[in-house]
Amino acid sequence: MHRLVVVALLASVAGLAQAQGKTFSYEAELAQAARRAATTAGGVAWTCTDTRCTASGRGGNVSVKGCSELARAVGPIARYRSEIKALSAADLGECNRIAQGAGGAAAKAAKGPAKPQRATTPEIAFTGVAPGGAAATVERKP
Amino acid sequence: MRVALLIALALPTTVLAQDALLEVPVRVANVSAAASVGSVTCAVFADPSGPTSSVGYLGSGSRWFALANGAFAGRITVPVKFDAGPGPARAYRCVLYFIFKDEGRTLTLAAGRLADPAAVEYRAAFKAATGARLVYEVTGMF
Repeated sequence: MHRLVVVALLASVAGLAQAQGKTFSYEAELAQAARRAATTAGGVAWTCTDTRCTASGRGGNVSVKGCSELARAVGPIARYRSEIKALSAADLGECNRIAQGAGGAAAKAAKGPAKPQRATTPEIAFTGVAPGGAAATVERKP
Repeated sequence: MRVALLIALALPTTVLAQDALLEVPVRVANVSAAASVGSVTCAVFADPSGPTSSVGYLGSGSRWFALANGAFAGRITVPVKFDAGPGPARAYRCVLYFIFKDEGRTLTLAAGRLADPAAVEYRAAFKAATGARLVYEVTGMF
């Protein structure tokens, strides 16, 4: 009962804060230690230590898309929430499925007889002054 | 992270296998005779913002090319191995370097430094032609 009151109170306070455009904290619990210490997902910058990732950002909303972006970067997610909202178990499942799909595709690509990703970049261009100029010298800052 | 990326970009690497191939059109001309070799180094990222934020860095690779009479025009294929994280790569950043001799030392200098008057740590005699089309680095998405 007490927990309910506290949750209701927190939600009320958080709702007021949202109305004022304040920053909310986000938290994700991972199924295993994070694959990287920092990443950007769901439009916010996350910092991860062991199995916990935290972030802060406006809005306080959570989404499967944001969750899957984080999962793709750091690994499967067991819990994903902000101060005022949390992903349901069904949404978490969807989040991890989407992320795993991307990871699975990468794993297949890595295993098979290499079909590397390809891209053609814009042209790099440099035109110096006429040849025969002074020899190149470099001075490094002390 | 940024320092690590810069180091990775600056050091030419030998890549035995690759997870990405970047086709980079290169056109350089009138480069000082001190430089006989140029190189293109590419870094790839799982995060679309990687080229500016370094988030999601996956790996890098280099390919050098010989300058003939201070010029080169062609397409360089740069292999990149994902040795810092799992793919897929979403974005890339490729940078032009010149490798040159200076008092018996072999030095590598990012071409982009040459046009930056504020870069006091380096001063090179490779001056870019006034009004020439100069593109020292390119970024993009897979």
